[in-house]
Amino acid sequence: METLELKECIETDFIDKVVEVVSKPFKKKSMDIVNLLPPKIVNHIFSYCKPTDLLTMSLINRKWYRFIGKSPSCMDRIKIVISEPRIGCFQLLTNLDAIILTQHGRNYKHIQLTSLERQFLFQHKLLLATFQWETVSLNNHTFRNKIDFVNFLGMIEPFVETLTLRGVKIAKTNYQISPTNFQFPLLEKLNLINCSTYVYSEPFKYVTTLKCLNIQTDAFPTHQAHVGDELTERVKALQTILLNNVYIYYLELFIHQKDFDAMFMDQRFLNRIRFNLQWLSVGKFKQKDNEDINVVQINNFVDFLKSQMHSLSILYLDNWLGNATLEYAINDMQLTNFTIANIEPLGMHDESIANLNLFSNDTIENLTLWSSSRHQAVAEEIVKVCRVLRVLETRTINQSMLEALIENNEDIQIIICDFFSAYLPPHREVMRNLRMMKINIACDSDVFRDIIGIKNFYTNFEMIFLRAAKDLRRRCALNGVNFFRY
Amino acid sequence: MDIDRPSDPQVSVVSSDGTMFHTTLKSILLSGTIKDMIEHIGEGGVENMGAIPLQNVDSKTLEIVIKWIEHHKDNIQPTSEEIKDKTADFIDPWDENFLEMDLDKLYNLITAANYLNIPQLLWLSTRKIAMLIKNRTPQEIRSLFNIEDDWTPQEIEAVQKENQWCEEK
Repeated sequence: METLELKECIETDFIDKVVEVVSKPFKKKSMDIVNLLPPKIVNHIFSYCKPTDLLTMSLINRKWYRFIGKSPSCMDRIKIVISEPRIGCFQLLTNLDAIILTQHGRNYKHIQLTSLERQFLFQHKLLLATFQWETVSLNNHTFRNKIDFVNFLGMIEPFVETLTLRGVKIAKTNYQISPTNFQFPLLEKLNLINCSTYVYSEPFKYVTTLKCLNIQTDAFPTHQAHVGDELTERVKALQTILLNNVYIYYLELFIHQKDFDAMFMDQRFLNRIRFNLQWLSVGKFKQKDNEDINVVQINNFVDFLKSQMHSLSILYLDNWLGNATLEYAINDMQLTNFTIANIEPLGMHDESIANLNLFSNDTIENLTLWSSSRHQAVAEEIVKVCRVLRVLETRTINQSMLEALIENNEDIQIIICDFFSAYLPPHREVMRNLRMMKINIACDSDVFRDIIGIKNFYTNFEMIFLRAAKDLRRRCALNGVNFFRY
Repeated sequence: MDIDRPSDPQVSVVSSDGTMFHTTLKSILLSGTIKDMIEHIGEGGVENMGAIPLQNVDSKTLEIVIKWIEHHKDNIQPTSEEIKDKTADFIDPWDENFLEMDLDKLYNLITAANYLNIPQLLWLSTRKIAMLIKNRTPQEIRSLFNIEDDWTPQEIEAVQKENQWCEEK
């Protein structure tokens, strides 16, 4: 009996072999990369494909779907976007959609929820509870009450690394709930943009792992009662977050004037800051009428900059923060990138601009200065003292700015500006490192006719990006000349 | 051990099927794996070193690899980090031409470049495949690689529906 079975076994095996050998010439050999190459290499290949291509490639067969869906490096580049309603048409997430998304075997890591039509329904909760989200972004959502908001955070707390809450409001804040105890153990990037006070004050008070923090605040609605209390609460909450997280190296503070004043009035708070920033952006406040407060606030801000002097290399100032700030940033700090988005001193600062004391700077390589033509002189002063400039972005390059550049900045490689009104072209002998010029709006002079005409004149000058290319082409009647339209 | 001497000594390598190839030290050092091996050679130096056995590369593939490294021996090779940030799509026409081979050979070349740790060659060859599958429909990729479609119509519809919720991060 036993031998017979064995014999049968051999025979069926043998027949299978024969069938395989016979049918082989008729079947073309599969060259499937997912089967033939090691997973590491396949991931390498997929890293050159666009994320949208990866989605299409998931349709090839089950194996490809599974490979892409389980590959962390592929899924890192794909996010789920639920936007209800989409512009022009409603696309609501249904139960069926949520089941498809959760049960097919893809390991999603990133999700963005925008303007949900209603409150969180079963399908949204199913989605949120199924995956270990690394990135969660919730935009323009009003929770009914604190409990709903806390429940939402509870679903994403353990794994989230990047969390964005933009315009997250809580409709009924009048009844109290017990304090939350969230740790967010993996949270590194937190963006809190124009949310209700509760969002700033409660859930993130125990977080200590942040590396990047972006906080933006709005003015409180004027009809709201107890504005003073809310402001105090919000500022205290922001200070708590800043003091608890010693690893922050990237900080964006686009906070309302009142928050800024309250925060930087508090010298004790500033003394307790322990993080070392590499990147700081500050902005969105208006000058106060009360000059005394303004002076204190700005002096404290300069003190804050002093405490960050050894680590900070990139500074972005959205507004004019007074002479002292500018002088300190240029004369004393070791910045490599410096931006002032608006050189527009108001009120008392208007005259003091003439008293600006700038010495010299040999660290700033990338400088961005946006000013109205009224304050062009300030921009020019700054350019003059920055001796190792490589990239300059500004509104206007006029003849005197160009001359300042020629005289002081021989390393300059890239110039980006809106208007170019100099009448003499940059000379090769003095701007020999210039590689690229990008001019956004038509220029007033014919300098470029010469530049385009004698391209060889500039040894390292590779490209001119011009929005006004068409116009120039017409004016210069240069059809065959190589320059690139941006 | 002195790799930087001006003369370029001969080095031999042996493929998995026993064929011996002769090349120069300068070219073979493009391979990170072999560079590591040679750097750990003690007394005696490169001149007295025997042939290097390469168990994971067959003779056909090794021949192609040697052709490539000999052509590129004088070029400065980017490190893998530099290749990662590479955005320029410029490819040397010689390389473009060199990579015109059937998929079988290309796959073997990729595996060899990976084993021998030649970042530039790995980048070129994997990019070549990425270019093949770029902007194509699933059906086109299936026929390109001879892949069977094992989806049911319901399943494919579900995946299409799933994709509608996905975007580039």
